[in-house]
Amino acid sequence: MEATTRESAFLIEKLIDAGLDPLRREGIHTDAAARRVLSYSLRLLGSRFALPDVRDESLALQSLRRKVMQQGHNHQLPRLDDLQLRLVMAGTPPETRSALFTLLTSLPSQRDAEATSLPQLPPIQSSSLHFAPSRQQPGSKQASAVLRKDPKDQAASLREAAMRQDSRAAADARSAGNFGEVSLVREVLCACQAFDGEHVRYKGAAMKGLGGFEIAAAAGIPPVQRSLMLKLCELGWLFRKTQCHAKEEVMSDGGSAIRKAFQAALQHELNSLYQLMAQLDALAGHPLPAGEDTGAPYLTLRRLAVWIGEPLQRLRTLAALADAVVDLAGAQLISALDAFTMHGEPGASGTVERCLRQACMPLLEMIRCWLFEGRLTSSPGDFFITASPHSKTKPGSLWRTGYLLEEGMRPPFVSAAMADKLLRGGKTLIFLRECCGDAEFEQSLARTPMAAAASQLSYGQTDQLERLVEKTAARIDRHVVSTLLDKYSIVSHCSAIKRYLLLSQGDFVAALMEGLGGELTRSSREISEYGLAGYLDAAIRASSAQYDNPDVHNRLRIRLEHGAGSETGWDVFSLRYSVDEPLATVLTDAGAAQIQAVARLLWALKRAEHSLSAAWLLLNTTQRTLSRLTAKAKRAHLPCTGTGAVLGVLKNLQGLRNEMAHLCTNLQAYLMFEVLERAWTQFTAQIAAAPDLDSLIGAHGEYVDALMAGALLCEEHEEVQHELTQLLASLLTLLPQLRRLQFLVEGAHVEIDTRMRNMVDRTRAKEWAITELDAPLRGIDEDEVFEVGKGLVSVTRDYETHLRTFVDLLPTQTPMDLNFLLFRLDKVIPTRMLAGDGEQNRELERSAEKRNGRTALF
Amino acid sequence: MPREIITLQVGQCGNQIGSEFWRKLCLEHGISNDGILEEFATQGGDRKDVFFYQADDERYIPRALLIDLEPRVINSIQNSDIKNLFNPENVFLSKHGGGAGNNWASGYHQGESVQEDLLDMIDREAGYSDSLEGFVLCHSIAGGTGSGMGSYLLEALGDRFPKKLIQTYSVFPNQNETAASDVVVQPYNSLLTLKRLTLNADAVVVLDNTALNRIAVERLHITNPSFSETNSLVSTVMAASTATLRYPGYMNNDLVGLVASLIPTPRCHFLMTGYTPLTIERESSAAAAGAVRKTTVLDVMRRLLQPKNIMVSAHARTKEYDKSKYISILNIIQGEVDPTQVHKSLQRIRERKLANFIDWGPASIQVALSRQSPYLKTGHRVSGLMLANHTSVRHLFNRCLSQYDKLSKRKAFLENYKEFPMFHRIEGRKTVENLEEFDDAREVVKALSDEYEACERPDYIERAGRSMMTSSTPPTSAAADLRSPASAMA
Repeated sequence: MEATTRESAFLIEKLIDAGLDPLRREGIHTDAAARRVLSYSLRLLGSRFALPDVRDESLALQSLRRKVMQQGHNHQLPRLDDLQLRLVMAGTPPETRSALFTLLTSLPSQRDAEATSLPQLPPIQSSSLHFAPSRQQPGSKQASAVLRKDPKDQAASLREAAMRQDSRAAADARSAGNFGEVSLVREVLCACQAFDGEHVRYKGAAMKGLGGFEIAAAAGIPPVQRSLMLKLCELGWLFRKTQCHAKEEVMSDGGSAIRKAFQAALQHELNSLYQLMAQLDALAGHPLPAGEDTGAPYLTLRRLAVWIGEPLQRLRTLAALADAVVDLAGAQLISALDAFTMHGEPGASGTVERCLRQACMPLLEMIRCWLFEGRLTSSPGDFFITASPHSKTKPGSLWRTGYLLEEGMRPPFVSAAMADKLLRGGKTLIFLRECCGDAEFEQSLARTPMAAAASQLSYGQTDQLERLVEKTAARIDRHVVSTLLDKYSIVSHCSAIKRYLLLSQGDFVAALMEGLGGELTRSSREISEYGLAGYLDAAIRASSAQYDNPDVHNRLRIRLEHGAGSETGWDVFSLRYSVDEPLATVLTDAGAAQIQAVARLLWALKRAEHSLSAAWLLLNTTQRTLSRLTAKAKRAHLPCTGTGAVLGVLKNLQGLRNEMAHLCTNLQAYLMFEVLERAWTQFTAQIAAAPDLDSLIGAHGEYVDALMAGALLCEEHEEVQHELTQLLASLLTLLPQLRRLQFLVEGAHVEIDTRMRNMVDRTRAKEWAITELDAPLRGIDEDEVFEVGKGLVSVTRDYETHLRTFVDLLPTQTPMDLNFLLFRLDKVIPTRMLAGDGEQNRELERSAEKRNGRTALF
Repeated sequence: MPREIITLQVGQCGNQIGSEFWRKLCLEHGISNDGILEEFATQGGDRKDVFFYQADDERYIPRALLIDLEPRVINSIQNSDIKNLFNPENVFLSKHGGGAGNNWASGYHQGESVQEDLLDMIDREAGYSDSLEGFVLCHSIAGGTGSGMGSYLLEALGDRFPKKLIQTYSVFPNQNETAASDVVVQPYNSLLTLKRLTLNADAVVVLDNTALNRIAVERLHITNPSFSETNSLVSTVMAASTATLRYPGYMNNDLVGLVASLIPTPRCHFLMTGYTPLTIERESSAAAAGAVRKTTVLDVMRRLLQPKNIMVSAHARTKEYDKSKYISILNIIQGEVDPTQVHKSLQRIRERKLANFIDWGPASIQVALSRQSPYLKTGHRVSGLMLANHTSVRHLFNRCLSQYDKLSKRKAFLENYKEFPMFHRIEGRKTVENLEEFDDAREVVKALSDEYEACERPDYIERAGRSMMTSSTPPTSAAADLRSPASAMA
């Protein structure tokens, strides 16, 4: 390899010689020019300007020809052909030839080359500064590396070759008064490493880069050099400043890992600068060439300016970065750094990127730990997800309040959507671990290729990160949803709640009502949860609930919420379905409270229905007793008073009961078909399609909200609800009136039975069946019947008032389909109520019109 | 507290439809013919204890009493595939086994004479229940045993269990003039039974043999429908009408609740039924494959209102059609139904005025959704039963009255009745016929028919209010205020 290089250098030299031939012939001294051209060519060869990797000789030759023709030197073409021929004859390998042609192509045109001054030097390539190695093409990199590695070579170090250009400057320096160039260079180098020199001193605050370098006036350094030195000292100033930032201790405990990483990146950059300084120090040790440039290395101020040109740029960037992120930590620091990547200068943005890559490493590790292990590894203030205090005992608090997203802390490469996914993903892992006791999933997740990929992420791979988060989060979500659905069978629990709390399991409800009904009419102070628990067990055993999972039975409890103490059992009674984690996260306490409110309404309805059913049976039996009584009285020729009045009241009771039952049935049908079942259908569909835990929770929330809205239990319907409660309470007042009536009828029946038995006995004893002494039958006390009738009037009035207010209050515009309810209630208000006259009548008509208007709407 | 129901099947017809009913229930609950729960049916959810109780050996035993005065039908049940299903103690056969000779009076009298035995059986059966809800009586009103003994049982049950519900499934005789009835005294029997059904039953499900025959002929294309085929229809109706009791849901879980919504005034408690889709059980497997139809709630509800699906004679339905009104309708829909369709269907039916309701009180179609037995494979996704209280049922009573009048004018076939104490009284040594019972029954049935007719008028309730006013001696304003402010003003 080395041989080839040397060979090519030799060839170039020969080529230059050939090119200079005409000049020599004219007697011009060409050695210096030749050397210049040679060094420039070699520098070009080794420069980072990439040489096209041309292996094909003919292609290279063709492009050279094209260039020559473009420049209008068509007459030179034969010479080119001749050159090629000669090269072939000389046995040069084709690669060399093609390289040579490429070189020639990239050389400036002859006229430029003849100019005595060389084109401006491009920035120096320092081997220690490995500037974005990826930008170099492999071929040229190899070449330049080889060239640089061999200082003994004629082509030697390109840097040195370039330095030699400065021989005139060196001569100037030699002539400069007391101050040797060398000592000035040393001063500057010292300053550049942030030390004070003999003349150059740092003035101002020691820290933070306030202040600057000053050159002692007494030194008497010529102004030209003085200003040059000051310029060069900028590096030192920047260096000092950056070092301050790099070394600065973060005050808080532990400190931000991201900040530390950034500081480490700064320090790394500074270290590479130290290497350069060391080299320069060594270089400064060389004596200045006296006279003719021998090619030996040396350093002058101007040369130094060239040397530090590029590091100065870099330091400027670093200092700007360090300034920008002062007092920042965590993701904010990264955001601030990220803003600099927009920097137009490739060198600067490269520096920024290097720092960012370093600074992001801890962040990416945090993300990995969070998403794959459900651990928060960050020091405070670093991560955009933070743990907030939550109680372990309060169900669901881990999920809802345990971990929060800090919007301001979100790094720029994490989109809001991604942050949400990340938050949910890690939270789900913690949820699985702590609430579901499922740590295996984490382990299986760690074995996935995603986990491996995550540990190799670095800054700039935003797309990969996004894909990774997406895939992993989806996997975690799937797992938690299937865990809740399959392992914890959340749907069956919801169904149990629907069946037992929302009364869908009719036989259980009937059995419980049968047992509890009597107890609950007592004062709330006389009953206890413990005492009622037996009825619950009995109801479970007596209904097909007994075939249900025992787990469900154990969760079912009776709750009494004791209040002021004046309530009846019914007021404080409720059924509870206790859930623990992880179910409690979905079936929240708030949801349970809402379900309880709906259940209370359903119970009130059920109770009314129960009472009205009992009334129906009682009406039937009373009527039958009455007709038996009438028949017996007729047969025994005993006049019994009051039967007609009872019959009338009975008829009225029947009519009223019928209306009430109709209302009750329709309210129940509305709640069942339009509210419960509709919400349930939606809920199960949503649950089945739920992609993640949040949507499971959301689905349950919506379900409960739909129940509340449908049952008119929302806050805005408070008035309606109040009226409905009263209405339902008025339905319960019918039965007591009927009982009074039944008592009267039964009494008369017993009386007549006794009397008839007496008559039979007397007949057997050969006495008169009816004697004068017999008092007439007491029969049914008509006054009492009218008392019942009066009571009934007030029951009716009560009921009708509440019903009317309720229907009027029913909101016309609601999200729920209340039309259904209105439609069903349409026939509840009987025409009879419209048959009155006066103000009330008109009012009723108006409300009827309103109703009809409403029903006509759909 | 399962709210148990005890079934009494009385007479030839009663036992036939009864045994079909039990066969059907067993199929629906996955209970084998021996009363053993099938392997596949162990998952609960249905409620078997309303109609069955479990013996010590875990066998399910129907809460049923099989009562007849002649052994033919019960013997055939005891020799059939379900011979082991029933509790043998629950079978009552009269000792002489002579039957009632299609004579209501004989059936009633025999019932009276063995009342101890019968009531012992009923008491024992009631003792097996925790919270007996009531009794269901299956019988025919035309013959001797079902009508006569059934009538006696109705009265006896009312006395013994005054607070229990009594529902009957009563088969009304084929009243087609053309199909000559084999029982000439059927109008007498019917009238006398109707009186008890009116006075002593809480709900009567009218199963009109005329209509059942017509349905079998027209809808099922059976040229000469046998009893077993019409009985299959009846058992389907019976099973469907108890579906909400056996598959509990939010509503209609007890018999009282179920019938209470249908019967606003206690007298008018005669219910018509309609069923769709109609198939004969044993053909269902073959027919099912071909006859799968798309059934929605609306389809079902609309079909239920179609006269051809209603199991009441055509003459009753068509006579004075414009005047007749529904007092109440309950549709029990079984199968996979979207509950949210119910509202739309009700609305549609109302828009098209498919059902004409009474004016004097709130009335509308009630819908009960119930599960379908998972063990029965039918081709029908959805099936529906309509229980309706319709005023046109009075034409059935009127027909009965007119047929009775025709016979009684001639005093035809009364000899057989006079033998029994209810129809004669002894004056000295002579037994004199006493037909007061007939007159009384006629009066009751006429009153019933009138009551139904009155229901067709919008002022039904107000009439009731007035009747109260006139009957009450002190016409206090409170009483007048009760129902009708208008009449109080007047």
